[in-house]
Order: sequence, then C-alpha cells, then structure tokens
Amino acid sequence: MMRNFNDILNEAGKLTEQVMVVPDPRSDRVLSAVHEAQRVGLVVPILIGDQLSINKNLSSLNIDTDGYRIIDEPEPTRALTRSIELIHQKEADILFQGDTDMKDFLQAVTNDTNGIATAQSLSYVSLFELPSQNRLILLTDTYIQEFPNVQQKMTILNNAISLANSLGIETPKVAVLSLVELVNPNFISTLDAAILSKMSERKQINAIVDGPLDIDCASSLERATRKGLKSLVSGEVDIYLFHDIESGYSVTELTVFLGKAQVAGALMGCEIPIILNISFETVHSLLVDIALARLRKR
Amino acid sequence: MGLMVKSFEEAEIMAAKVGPKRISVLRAENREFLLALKESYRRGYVEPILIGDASKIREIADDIDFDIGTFLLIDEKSQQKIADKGVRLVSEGKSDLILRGHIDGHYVYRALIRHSAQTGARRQICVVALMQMPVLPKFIGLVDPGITVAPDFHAKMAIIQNAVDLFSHLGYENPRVGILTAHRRLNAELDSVLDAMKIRDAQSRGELTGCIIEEGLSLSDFFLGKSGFLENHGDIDFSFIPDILLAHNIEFANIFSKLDSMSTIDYFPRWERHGIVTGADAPAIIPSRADKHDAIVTIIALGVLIS
Repeated sequence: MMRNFNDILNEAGKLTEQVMVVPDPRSDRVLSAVHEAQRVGLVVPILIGDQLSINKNLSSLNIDTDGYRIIDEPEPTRALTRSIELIHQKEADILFQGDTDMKDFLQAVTNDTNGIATAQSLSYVSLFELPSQNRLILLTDTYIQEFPNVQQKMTILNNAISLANSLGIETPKVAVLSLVELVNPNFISTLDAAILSKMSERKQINAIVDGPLDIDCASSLERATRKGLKSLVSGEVDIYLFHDIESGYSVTELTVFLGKAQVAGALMGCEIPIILNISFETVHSLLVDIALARLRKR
Repeated sequence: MGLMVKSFEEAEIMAAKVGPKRISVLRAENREFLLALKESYRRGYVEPILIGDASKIREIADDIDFDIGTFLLIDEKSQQKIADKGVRLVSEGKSDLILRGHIDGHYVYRALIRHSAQTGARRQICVVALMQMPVLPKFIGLVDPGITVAPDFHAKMAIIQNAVDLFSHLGYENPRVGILTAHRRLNAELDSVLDAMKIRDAQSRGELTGCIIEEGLSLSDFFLGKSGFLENHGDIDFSFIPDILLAHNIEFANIFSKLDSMSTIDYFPRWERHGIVTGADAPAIIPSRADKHDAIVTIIALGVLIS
C-alpha cells in the first residue's frame, strides 16, 4: 500500500515508461514537471506546440532538448486536437493538459465525435498525505461534477475506489459527508449518504461506506464515540465523498492555502490517464499526478 | 472601541474593561456554565440573569460556592419558555445578551426567529463562527455554519452585514469579505458565482456598508490572482486571507468550521472557534456542548464586546 507521495513516485518508477503527449506547453511550470517526469523515467514526452518557443523555453530551463519529440503546431486548438489523435492512434498513452485552457481542454476530451471520455463519467480526486498517520486520504469530487445526484455520486465514488485500488488500498473506507450524522429527509445529502451506505452493505459497492457523517465523526474516532456514534470508518477514512462542488473544491483549496498542504490529483472516468493543470497544484503536485497516471489500472 | 481584537486572549482582557453587561443565561442549571459565570462575574464581565430550574440552579451554585443571591433568578422548566423569556428580556431592554446554557440550540433559534418575525424587522438571523487559527494573527469570521441552510442573494446580503457589524464591534475597520465559491477555470454559471456578482453590484449601489468585498471568487483567486498558479508552498502569503468568509451553503460552512479535525497535527493545529448568533436584537452566544467552563468564559468575554 502506498502511504505517501514518495511511495507513489517510487512505485510508478518501477514500471516501464509510457508516452505522454502534452499540447501547448509554454510555462516553466509545465515544462519543469514534464522534464522531471522524463528525467526520473516515468514518461517519454511528446510536446506539441510552437517548436521555436518550446526549444527556447527548454534551453532557458537548461533542459537538453535531445530526449524530446517536439511536433510543431503553433495553434493551441490544433495542438490539442493533434494530441487526442495521437491517443486514438495509440502513439501516446497519457494526456497532460499542458498550458491549454481548462475549458477548451475538457471540451475536447469529452467531445462526442472524437473525445476520450464522456462528461458524465468524469470526476476528480484530490489526494493529501497524512504524515502523522502515515497514509494518504482521497477527497472527491473536487473539480468536475458540481451538484451530483445519487446516481452520479456512485460514479464519482467508483472512480475514487478505482484510484484507491491502484494505490493498494483494497477495500477503502468511505465517509459520505454531510452536516449531521442522522438521516434527515430535509437534507438530500443525508439521504444520498444513507443510500450509498446501504448499497455498500449489500455489496453493491466495493468499499466500506458509511454516512451521513459530519467531518468530526468521519475523521475522529474519539469525537464519534463522544457523540455516541458507532461507525466502521471513523478515524480511518480513505475516501471523503462530498455532497457538492462548493464543499469539495473549497475544502481542497482551504487545505492547500491555509494548511500549506501538498496536494496531488487524478482525473478519473476516462479511457486513458489524463492529467489536469489545476492552479492550486504545484510543479511537484504535477509530477505526482503523472506518477499516479502511470499507476492507474488500464 | 478603537482597538482591534485579534485573539480570544485579547477579548478576555478587553471584556473586563467594557463590562459588566447583563447576560440572560438560558437553562443555567449546569455546573460548567455556573462555574463560567462565577468567573465571568468575578472578572467584571457580566451581571447574570439566570433562567431555568431555580432549585437546581441554587443547589449547583451552593456546591461551587457561587453567591447568586443578588442576581435575578427566573424559575422556568420548559425549554421553549426559557428561550422565549430570554429573548423577551433582551427586546425589553432588560438584558444585553443571551447565553445558551444547557438548552437545545433549536429552542433558542426558534425563539429568536419568531421574535424577529413578530417585530416585522425582516432580519436574517445567522451564526458567525469566529475562528482563531494558529497561523493567522487575526480572527476569521465564517458565515453561516449554523442556521441558514441555503441562503439566497438577499439572505447572503443580510448575513454579510451581520458579520461585518460583529467585526466592527471587534474593532475591524472595513473588514475584507471573501465570497467563497467553487468557481474554477471552467464555464460554470454557479449560483454561488451569480450571487457574488449581485452582491458586488449591490455594494457599488451603496447597499452594503463598512466592508470591502473582495474581487476574487475563491481562495485560488485571493492568493494567486485570477490567472495565477501556485508554484510552491513557500509562496503562500497568509495576509491574502479575507477577514470574513461567506460560504454558499451550510454543508460547506459546517465542514469548514470543523476542518481542523480532518487533518489535525498534519496541516491544521486545532483552531479555537466560537459561534455567535447575530441579526437579532442582541447577540446570542452559543458554546458547544463539549465546552468546559474556561471555554465558556472566553465566549462570554466575546459576547460582552459585541453586545
């Protein structure tokens, strides 16, 4: 079981490298992450963009351009289309957003005719290390689905379980978060949580799911006990499932900015591993993202 | 007041100078509460008005050596009646603030909301969570983790004004208000974003006073600007955090207020937080169930400053 970002990097480093295509790589941030991933043997990159400026930027970062395949395509939209073509032609295994616009990128990826995912299947998982407990926690959905219904929450949850499995967590413990731990028909989040828990009890979900749980009861056995709550997941949660994007996205931001926590992430629910370039992720985060992409089960 | 109160320790020092205030204690028959009142009275914060089971209150007071002979003691056993009486004392000008004692919170909220409706004041009652995070040299106010489930634009306006008024009582001039939304670099027309636009428009028409509404829509915006990226963690400058943060809904506000429990030790040292109900005739301070008497003394000090 992988217990921190170093474990992820080490495990991924043991695999034979794969080809990662990167449209429109312009920033130092993207080029540095790609270079580092190449240097440690995670990927062989193909860069698609304005060849002249890519070469210039690489050399200003003191990166030797020898190991790089660069396809000259100065127009960002076409660079993106070309990248997806390479995926379809099986010339590349992994897609990194690079410096393309987030909206354009996700639209291209989920495009009906030549996309590689459907808008409904996608979800995002953010990972944090818990050094004091020597393990990782997964938060979802922290970027893509906004106000999922119970059906969509199942998809989001299954995506996260699949990632947890890739990390060696066989039967993850899941907390479906709400503001209370009692089922209250006035709060949809409590109803959805109860349904997902029941489904897990009936083995319809390959995880130990409990909810509704408030963040206190989910994360602390002591506090759950004090509230008189018995839960199989209290204090040992691997996956926190949020009710909506307002919680999922903002909690991730809070942990990064107020907690100064290193974060990593994975876009799930697509045919091939895709890495997003999210503003609150650092260069090191992106490197871990690439390693995670390598570990994903195909 | 002039001076800006930046921590709960400072609040305690200031309260001794500002007090004593008349405090109505709802269902006072509890040892931790009476211990807290004994100490608050000794420090000159408050003049208690005790509402609840009079004989039980006397018994506990005796036991802890607290002379309550000079205080107003109102004998009442029904929780709703206790809450109603407390609220009425405030509206009649006989009390400056309310302390939730050993009573279920919803009786207090109900009494406050009912009273506000009767007076036709059309005010929005909400909880402001005042948080003291070890990494920050000031308070952060979070609204609304307690009462308004899914505030619309109008409710959000009132909630912000409540929090701003509270912060101005604590000496924060023109506090910065951050509207937290899940606005990402996507084409999302989230309700939270639309509300944020409307709130900004309203402020430019002069509807929200005494505060600065931040331009950004998320912590990424506040810390990195609209198109920035986080390069490394050393770059994070805590001074970008606004004073008051508005959450879109109670689900998120609830998690935020307790987020230190998710990653205790690792990222967030436990932060001290206290809830205050604002928007009524007088503030109601609501210690959490687990609070011991010293925590209750702190929240009483806070109540004294903002009443």
